[in-house]
Amino acid sequence: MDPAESTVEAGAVKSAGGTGSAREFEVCPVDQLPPGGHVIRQAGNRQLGVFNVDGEYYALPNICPHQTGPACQGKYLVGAVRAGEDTDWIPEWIFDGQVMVCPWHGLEYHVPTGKCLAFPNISLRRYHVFVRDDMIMVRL
Amino acid sequence: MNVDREAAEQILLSQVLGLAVAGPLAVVDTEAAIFVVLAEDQQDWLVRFEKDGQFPAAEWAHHMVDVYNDRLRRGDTGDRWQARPPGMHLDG
Repeated sequence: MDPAESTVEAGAVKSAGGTGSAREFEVCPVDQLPPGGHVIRQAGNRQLGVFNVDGEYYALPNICPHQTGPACQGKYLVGAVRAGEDTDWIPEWIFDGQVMVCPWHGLEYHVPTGKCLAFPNISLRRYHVFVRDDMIMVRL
Repeated sequence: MNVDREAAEQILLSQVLGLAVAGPLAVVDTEAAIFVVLAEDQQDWLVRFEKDGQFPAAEWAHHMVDVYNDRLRRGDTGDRWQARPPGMHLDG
């Protein structure tokens, strides 16, 4: 099954309370977010993209610093091509399955780090994601 | 207006419009980096722009905030900016 096809529904997540100023939100059951998949969820006053990259979960804000487009809403996780002096300018494929592409203008982000590939000075915030009772949770 | 109700309405509006954040953004300038934050809680950041070398961090941050806050004021869903076909969107 195409993991992107299994996670197309964007919806609000349910607050699970939390302690202090931190707030926790349910994302979805773990079996609804297989490796390579991602979902868009409302967490309080913001949208998040929540990703499963090779079994690790990540959450990033769904906003692109370029023109404020929905950065996490590209359908697929892809990789990227790079070339440099260290590769004798021969292109190489990197970050396979770890890169999201903003659907507005194509700016690419490395999901595990939140870094923009074209402009490494730009980083999206990474929110803490964890699993509780087979439910994927995110903490703001 | 009740603050909780106002916040709930902002969230609902942002969901209806498909906007990423319910409320305006702001810029916070620190020694090492510039942050785009939620205006209502400036500890709550979304994007970090490193001040390093020639990178125009302040220009990027202020541009992002100006664009987003203007979209929020105008209720701009951004549909006209989509450069890729709907099928390439997660909810397409």
